[in-house]
Amino acid sequence: MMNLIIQVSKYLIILLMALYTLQCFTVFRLRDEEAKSYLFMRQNMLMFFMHFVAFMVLYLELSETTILLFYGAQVLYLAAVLVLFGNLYRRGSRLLINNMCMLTCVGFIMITRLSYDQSVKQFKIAVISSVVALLIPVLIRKLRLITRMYWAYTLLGIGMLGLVAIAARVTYGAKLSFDIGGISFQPSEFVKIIFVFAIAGLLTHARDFRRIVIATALAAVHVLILVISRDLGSALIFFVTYLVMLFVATRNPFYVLAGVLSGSLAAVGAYFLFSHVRVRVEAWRDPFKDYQGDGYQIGQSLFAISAGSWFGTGLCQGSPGAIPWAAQDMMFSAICEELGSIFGICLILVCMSCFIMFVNIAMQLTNRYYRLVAVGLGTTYAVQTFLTVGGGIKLIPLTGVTLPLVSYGGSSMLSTLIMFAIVQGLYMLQRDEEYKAELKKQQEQPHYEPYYENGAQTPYYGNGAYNAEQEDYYEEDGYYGQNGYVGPRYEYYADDEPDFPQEPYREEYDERPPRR
Amino acid sequence: MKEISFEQEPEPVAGTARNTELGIVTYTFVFLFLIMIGYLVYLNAWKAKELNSSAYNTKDIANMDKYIRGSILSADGSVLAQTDVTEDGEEVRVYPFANKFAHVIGYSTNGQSGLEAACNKELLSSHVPSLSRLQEEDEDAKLPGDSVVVTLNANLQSVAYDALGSYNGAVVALEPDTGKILVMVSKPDFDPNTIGEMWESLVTDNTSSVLLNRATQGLYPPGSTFKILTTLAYLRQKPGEFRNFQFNCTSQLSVDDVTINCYNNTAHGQEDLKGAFSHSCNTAFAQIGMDLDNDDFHSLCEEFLFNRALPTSMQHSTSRFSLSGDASYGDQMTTAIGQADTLMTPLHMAMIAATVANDGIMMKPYCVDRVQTYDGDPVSATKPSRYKRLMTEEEARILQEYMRETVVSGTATELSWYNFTAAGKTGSAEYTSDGVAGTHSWFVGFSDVDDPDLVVAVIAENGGTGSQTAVPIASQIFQAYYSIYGN
Repeated sequence: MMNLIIQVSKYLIILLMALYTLQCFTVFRLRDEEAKSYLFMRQNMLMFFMHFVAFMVLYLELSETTILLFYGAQVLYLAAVLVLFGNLYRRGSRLLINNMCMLTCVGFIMITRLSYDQSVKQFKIAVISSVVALLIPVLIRKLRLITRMYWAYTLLGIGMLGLVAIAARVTYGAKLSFDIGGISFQPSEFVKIIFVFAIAGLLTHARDFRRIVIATALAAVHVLILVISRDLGSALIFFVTYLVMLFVATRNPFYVLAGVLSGSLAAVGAYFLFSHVRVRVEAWRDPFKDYQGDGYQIGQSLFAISAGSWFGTGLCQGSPGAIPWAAQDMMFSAICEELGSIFGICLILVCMSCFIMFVNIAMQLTNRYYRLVAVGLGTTYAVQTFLTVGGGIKLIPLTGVTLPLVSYGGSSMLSTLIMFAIVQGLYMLQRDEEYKAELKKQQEQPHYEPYYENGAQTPYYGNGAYNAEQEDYYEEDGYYGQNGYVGPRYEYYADDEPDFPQEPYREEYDERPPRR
Repeated sequence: MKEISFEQEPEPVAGTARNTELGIVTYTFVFLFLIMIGYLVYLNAWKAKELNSSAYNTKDIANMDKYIRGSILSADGSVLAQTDVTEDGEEVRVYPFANKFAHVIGYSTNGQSGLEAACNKELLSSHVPSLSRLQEEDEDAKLPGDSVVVTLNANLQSVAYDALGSYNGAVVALEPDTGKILVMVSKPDFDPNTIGEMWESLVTDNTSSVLLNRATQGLYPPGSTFKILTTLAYLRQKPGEFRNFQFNCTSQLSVDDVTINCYNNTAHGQEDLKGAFSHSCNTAFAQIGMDLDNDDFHSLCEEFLFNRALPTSMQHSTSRFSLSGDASYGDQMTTAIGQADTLMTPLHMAMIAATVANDGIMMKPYCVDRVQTYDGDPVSATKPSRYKRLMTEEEARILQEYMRETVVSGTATELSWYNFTAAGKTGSAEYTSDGVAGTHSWFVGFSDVDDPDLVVAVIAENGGTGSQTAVPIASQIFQAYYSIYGN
C-alpha cells in the first residue's frame, strides 16, 4: 500500500507544483480584480495541498509523530504569513507573497526530509525572520532617513566584509560567518542589502562622472574583499548587481560593456592568481578528473539529478544526503533527485516569477532611488538563484551560495525575507509620496466637477475623452496591472496612517483621477 | 551625509522611455533563467544515461536496501549470475559457471566489474507494476530486481573456454550482421564466487593481471592479422595495380639495416596479392608497406578505430597505431606486417573481421540483449545498430575472397575440413617480454562465406603460429556453433 501512496504522491506533487507555476504566469493575462484574487487563493490552496501530500509521505516514511506536530506548526506559520503580509501590504504584490511562501514551503519539505533537526532550526529562524520582515515596511515608513544614509551603509558594509575577510584569512577560507550567541551569522548576506542601498544612493543623482567613479571604486572594494575571503559567489552577486544598477541609473550600455569586459579580464586574472578560483573552474570542466577531491560535490550533484530524472525518485526514495552540503549549496540538486527535474524546472520558473515581480514593482516606482533599490535587490536575488542552480547542474562553476528561501541557512532566510519586505515596503512608501504630491496639486488647483458633454454617459474632463471601457489605460507605458493596481489610486486604510496631515477622505479618490 | 528628500522633486520621467532599461534587465535575466532550464533538460535527456552508468556513481547502493539484485541470464537461458537469499536473509551472489564468464559478467563484491557494473542500475531496479507488487508482498520485503538477458551463449562460451585450454589469451565471437557478442573469454581467470576471499591475492599480484578482461582491454601486437588492413590500404591507394601485383618472395627482404623474414624462412616464390595474403608472406607485405602513402594509411587505420574509442559502452582499451609521414622504410615494413608499434584488442580485431564479413558495414558490438522483470515481462531491448560503412561492398568482397583463400590453400586450411565454409587470417605476432621473445598465436575469421553467421577472434599468448594454436581453437568454436544453430 505504501509503495502505491508514495508513487501516486510523487506525481501529485509535481502536478500541484506545475499548476501553481502556471498560474504565476497566467495571472498577467487577467484584468479582472476578482479573478486575480481567486487565482491567488487557488495558488494558496495548491501550496497547502502540496505541503500536505509531501508531509503525509514524510510521516509514512519516517513514522515519527513529531512530524505531524511539525506539519501543523508549518501550516499555521504559512497561513499566518499569508494573512499578515496580505493585510499589511494590502496593495502590495500578492504573487510575490505567494511565491515567498511557496519557496519556503518547498524548503521546509526538503530540509525536513534531509534532516529533521535542521528543519526545526530552520523553522524557528523562519518565524523570527518573518516577524522582522513584517516590521520592515513600518520601519521604512517611520524612519525614512535610514534609506538615505548611503555613506554610512558603505562604511558599514565594507567594515563587516573586512572583518570576515580577516577571519577567513585566519581560518584559510573556511570561515565566512560569525557565531553570535550560538547563532551563526553570515555578514555577506546582509551586506548585500546594505550594498544595494548604498549604491542606489550614490547613483541616484549620478549626473556627473565623478559620482560614478566613486560608486565604482566602492563597489570594487566590496568585490575585492569578497574575492580575497574566497566568497566567490557573493563577489559575483555584488559585481553583477552593481553593473545592473549602474545601467539602470545611467542608461548607458557602454558602462555595462566596460564593466563586463573588465569583469571578464578580472576573472581571467583571478583564475591565474588564486588557486581557489582555479580549483572551482577545473572541477567544473571535468568533475571526474579529481572526483575524490574537488569534483566530488558537483559529481554527486549530477548523479543526484540523473538518478531523479524527470519525475524524481519520490520523497525519501533517493539519496540526496550523499551530496556534500545538500541542504545549503546543493538544495536544487537534492530537490531534483527526489521530486524530479520537472519539479526543478517549475522551481526555477517560480524564482523567475519572483524576479519579474521585483522588476515589475521597480517599474511602478517613480522615485529613482526607490527604483534603483528595487532593481538592485531583484538582481541580487536573480544572480544568487542563477549561481546556485547553475552551479548545481554544472552550467557554470560552483560558487557555493544558497537558494534563497529554499536552502537551509538562517542568515540567508532572514536576509531574503527582509529583501522581499523592503521591496513591498518601498512600494507602499511610493504610494505615500504620490498621495502627498497629489494632495499638493489638489490644493493648488480646484477640483473640476465632471460634466457631461452632449448628454454622454461618461464624464468629460476636458483633455481627451475618458473612456470607461479602456481599462488598461495606464498600462501603455509598460505597467503591469499590479494585483489590480492599474494606475495610481489614492485610497487609505485606517491601519496605515500616513505621517503627514491627512486630507479628509473624498469619495472621488476611488474614481479614476483626472487625466493631466 | 547627504539627504535626498523627496520634496526635491520626483525625477521627471518620460512615459515609455523610463522603463526601457528595466525591460532590458528583465529580459536578460529571464534569458539566463531559461538557459538554466534548457541545460537541466539537456542533462536529463542526453547526459543522464551516461551519468547513471558512471563508474563513480554510487547512487545504486541506496537501492540495495530495496531490491534483491536481479539475475543475469544467457541467450540460451542459463543463469550466469543470481542472488540467493539464505534463510537468515543474507544475500549471496552466485555464479553457476564460475570461471567461464568471470571477466565479461564480472563481480559485484569488492566493487564491480564487467556487466555487473554496466547493468548495475537495471539489476537494482524493478519494473514490476506497482499494483501487482501490492498483491503479493508485505510492506518491507525486498523486491526482486529486473533480470538482464545477455547475448552470450553459455554453450558456445564453454566450448571456447575449454578450447583455449591452458593458454592465456582471449576469444571473442560475435554476429557480424548484428554486433551481438556470443562469446567473450579471457584467461587467466578467477572464480567470481570466491572473489571475496581471493581479493587480496588478486590485487597484489601484478604479474598476471588476472582481473583484466583481455578480450576488451588486452593490447596485443596484431602480427599478420593486420595484413587485412594493409591490403585494404593497398586496394584503395593502387586501385589499378593490385590485380597485377606480382612479387617474388625469396623469404627475406632487406632495406637499409632492417631485414624482414617470412615465417620459418619459407620462400613463397612468385605470387600475386591473393597468394601473398593467404600465405601471409611477410616480404611481399613489407614491399607493399613501402609503396603505401603513410598518411593515408594512418588515416585509414584511425577510420578503423585505432587510437579511438570503440563504439561500445563496455570498458575497453584503445588500440594503438602510429606511422608518421616521414617514417623510415624499416618502420613502414614492420608496420605493414602488424609488428612495429601497433597494438590492438581482440574485440577490435573481431570487429574489423566482422566489417569485412558484413560487406563493409561495422555494427556496434553489444552484450546486453534485453532487460526483463524477474518474472519475464519485457522491459527494454537493445536493437542492433550500425556504426558506419567503413569499406565499399567491392572492397569487402575482395577481402572476403582473400580470407577465403587463406582457408582453402593458405595458413588456415584446417578450417576447410568441416561442413562450413570459413574464411580468415592467421597471425603469429612476435613479442619480447622481459627479454624473452615469444610468438602470440592469432586467428580471426568468419563463417559461412556466403552469408556470414559468426566472426571469431582468438589470441593465445605465446601459442606459436596462428595455424598451430589459434586456428584449431577457432575451429572448435565454429563446429560448436553449427552444431547448436545448424547450418
